[in-house]
Order: sequence, then C-alpha cells, then structure tokens
Amino acid sequence: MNNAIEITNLHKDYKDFSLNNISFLLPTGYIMGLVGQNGAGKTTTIRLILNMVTRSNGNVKIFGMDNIMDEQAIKQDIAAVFDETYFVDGWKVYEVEQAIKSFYANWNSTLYYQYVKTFNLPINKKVKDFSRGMKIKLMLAVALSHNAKLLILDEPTSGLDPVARDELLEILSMYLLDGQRSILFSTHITSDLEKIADYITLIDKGNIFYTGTKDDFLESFYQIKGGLAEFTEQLREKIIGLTTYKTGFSGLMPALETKGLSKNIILETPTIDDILVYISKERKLHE
Amino acid sequence: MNNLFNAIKLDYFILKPYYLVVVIPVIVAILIGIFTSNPPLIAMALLIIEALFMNTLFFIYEKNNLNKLYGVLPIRRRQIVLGRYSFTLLFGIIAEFIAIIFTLVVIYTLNMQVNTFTIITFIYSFLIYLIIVSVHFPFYFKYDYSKINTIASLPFTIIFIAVVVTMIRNPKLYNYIIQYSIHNQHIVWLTVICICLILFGSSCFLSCLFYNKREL
Repeated sequence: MNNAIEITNLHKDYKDFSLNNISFLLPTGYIMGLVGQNGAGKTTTIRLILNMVTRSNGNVKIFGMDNIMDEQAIKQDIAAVFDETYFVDGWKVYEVEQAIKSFYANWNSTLYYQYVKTFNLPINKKVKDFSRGMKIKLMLAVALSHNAKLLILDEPTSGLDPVARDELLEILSMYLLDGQRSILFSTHITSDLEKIADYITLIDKGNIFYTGTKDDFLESFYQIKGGLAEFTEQLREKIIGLTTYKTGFSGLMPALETKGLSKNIILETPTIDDILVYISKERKLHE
Repeated sequence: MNNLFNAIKLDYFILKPYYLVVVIPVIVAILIGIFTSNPPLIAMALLIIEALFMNTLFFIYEKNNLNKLYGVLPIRRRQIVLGRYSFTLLFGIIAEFIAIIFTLVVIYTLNMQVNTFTIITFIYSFLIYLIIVSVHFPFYFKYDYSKINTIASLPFTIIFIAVVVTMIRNPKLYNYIIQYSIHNQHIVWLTVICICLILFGSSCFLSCLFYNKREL
C-alpha cells in the first residue's frame, strides 16, 4: 500500500513548546483525523508537513518524496485549507483564479468555475464580504481545481454551522471517491471525524498518544463508571483521567485491562471526544 | 523562470485592489510641481511616494495571511523574494515613465524648458526609489509588517540627522563635497549609480536569507 504521508520521528523545538518524535502513516485513499487539544501540536505538524517551518529533526515524506528536497513537485499535488482564508480580501472569485492558476501545471479553470457554481459562491462579491463557510468553500474550490492528491485541512470546521459542516463532509467524501486521494484533517470537533475518518492520530502536548485506524482507536478504550464499593487502589492505577464523586467514579480504561472487572462496573464505548477529555484530565492530575 | 514570472504576477494581483490609491500621489505630485513652478519635483515626489507605497505589499501579506498562501503554493522562497524585487523594479520603471510624461506635460503647459536639472532629477528620482525599497524590504522580509513598520524608516532618519549634523559642524567638508561633485560629475554619477545598484542587489540577497529562515 502506498502512503500519502509518512512521518518519522518528527521533532520541533520552540521556546515554550516541543513536538516530540511524531511518527505516523497515512495510506493513499484514506482520511486521517489529526486530533488533540488546542496547542497540542496539530497545526505545528501541518506546518512542518508543508515546510512552512523548519523541523529540528526527523523525516517527512509525501508520496514517497522528501518534503523539503522535492517541495515544489510535492506541492503541485497538495492542497491545504486553513481555518482562515489566505486570499487577498479585495479579490473576487475570478481574481483568485487569475492570481493562482499559473502556479499549477494541472489547473482546470472549467472545474474551478464548476465548483464555484456548486458551492454557490457569489461571483461579484469580494472575499471580505464572504461568510466563513463561503471562504472555506473558496479555498476548497482552489484546492480541488488542480487535481491535488493530498488535501490537508487545518480546523476547517471550527466556526461553521452544522449545515455548512455537513456540506463540507459531503464534499470531502466525494473527493475521495477515486481511491487515489487522501485527506489529513485536523480538528477538535471530533464528531466530524467519527463520521468520515478511517485513521486517527491523537497528539497530546506534543507527543503521539495514538495513531492507527479509527475503529481500533475506539475499541482500545472503554469509558468505565461504577460505585464507590467497586473502586479499588488497583483500579485507580489503571484508570486514565479518573474522576471521583460522592457516589462513585468514572474514567477511561484500556480495553485490555477491563477483563475480570466487577459486573457492577459499567463499560461504555467512548467517543473520540470522551477519550480526549479523559486524557486531558489525566495530564492535569499529574501536573 | 516560470515561477519568477508567476511570483511577479501574484504581486500584481496582491496590489490590484489598491491601484486606485496610486492615483492620489500622482495628483499630489502634479500639484506640487505646478504650485512650486518646479515641474521636475513631480518625478521626485511621485517616485518617493510610490516607493513607500510598495510597503503595502507587506501590509496586505500580513493582513490577509498570505504566509499561508505562499506556504501552500509550489514556489521556492527565493523565487518569492526575487519576484517581489522584480515586480518592484518594474513598478518603479512604470512610475518613472508616468512621472516623466506628467513632468513634460506640465513643463510645456507652463512654457518652461527641459534642462539638465530636469534630467538629473529624473535619474535621481529613480535612484531614490531604489534606495528606499532596498532599505525597507529586508526589514519586512524578516519581521512582521506591524512590528517593524516604524523601525523600517529609522535608517533614513539616522542618515538625515547624520548629514545635517555633519553639515552644521563641518561646513568645510560640505563645501568640499559640493565643489568636488560639480567638478567631477562623471565620477559622482558613476559612484551614485553603482552604490544604488549594489544596494539593491545586496538588499535582495539579504531578503532571500531572511525569508528563507522565516517561519510562515
């Protein structure tokens, strides 16, 4: 299986933050959700992939090529959508195309205007007068018009209403149909990922907490709840993000550790959000 | 080469929403030339204002997150810098051309003559344009526009103060320079042009270094 992204031991040091030994693979044809709290290192990882910042160590390969050595060739086949638009606010839809198209060998003007029409983007309005959803769609129209094989999305759904988010997810599903395209989707609205992601990479405070398939991820943990009578010291050590109440406790537990638990303890399949919350609580307990 | 052309084109489009603003300095420059009865001032005023207008490119860059656009586009950072300097050079040449036309129109309208001073002013205007751009651009390629905007003008302020202080404290030196310039015009011209070209080239080289290290 070919990999769209192959990251090995990626490291980046800042004064107040470090991204440590990030490694993950995104196979061609799939969507990977990059999740983590704000400030966990998701955007830094994306910026390193795009060579927008210099890495301290490690390797990033896109389509099997080094992201620095072969930057220009790789970027012909990459598109990115960020949480904020990166077009001049005084541009209109046609000016966006005129300014950008000549950079891409595979630019398709007909396709661009098709997307503009499909996304209902106003031709005569300036970018600054677009709604947030429209701005995201404009970036998508550009992204999809040069036949990019890898789409990188950095928090595109934050601030979008549920209808616009659903539309976006539909567009992304369509984008993947030919099986040759891949998406790296960074977000903290994890319900979006539960709908469409095949793989999950969870970054916590600059470190990889999990990387693999979404199904394995969700099956790896149980959310456990029980009364005080079931709560033991042995259990305390195994629970991630333990919360105790007057009447009982709750937390997250690796699935492998749940064998032999009392029948009075409730085990529930967690959502990605649940896992994120418990991980965050666990970190706070140790700080 | 193709990407260099693309970078120039992109800069053209980045400034496009602001081109109407350029008309204002043209009018101001013409008025200065007419009211002072000194038409060559049109070229000088226009080129200085246009040189400062080029900083708008960096203002727009910061305001519209163009760092992300450049981060996504298949273009090397060196090509972005070279594209900006080439665009600026082309813009300066066009501005100079427009300045010459307006100056000549005003000269003939006021029944004046084109003399050596007029031609010297045309050349100096363009050289001053190059100097302003050469000094400003490396600052903007290294730092955010909003953080460095005031400081970028500091070199000119320092040079101006240094020249004035030298003139006041050492009038003999000033007189000597003036006399030397009058008697050795060719050498002075050659020196000034060479300094401007070296400054422009060095500025471009420095900007490449700065922008290569900058995080987008």
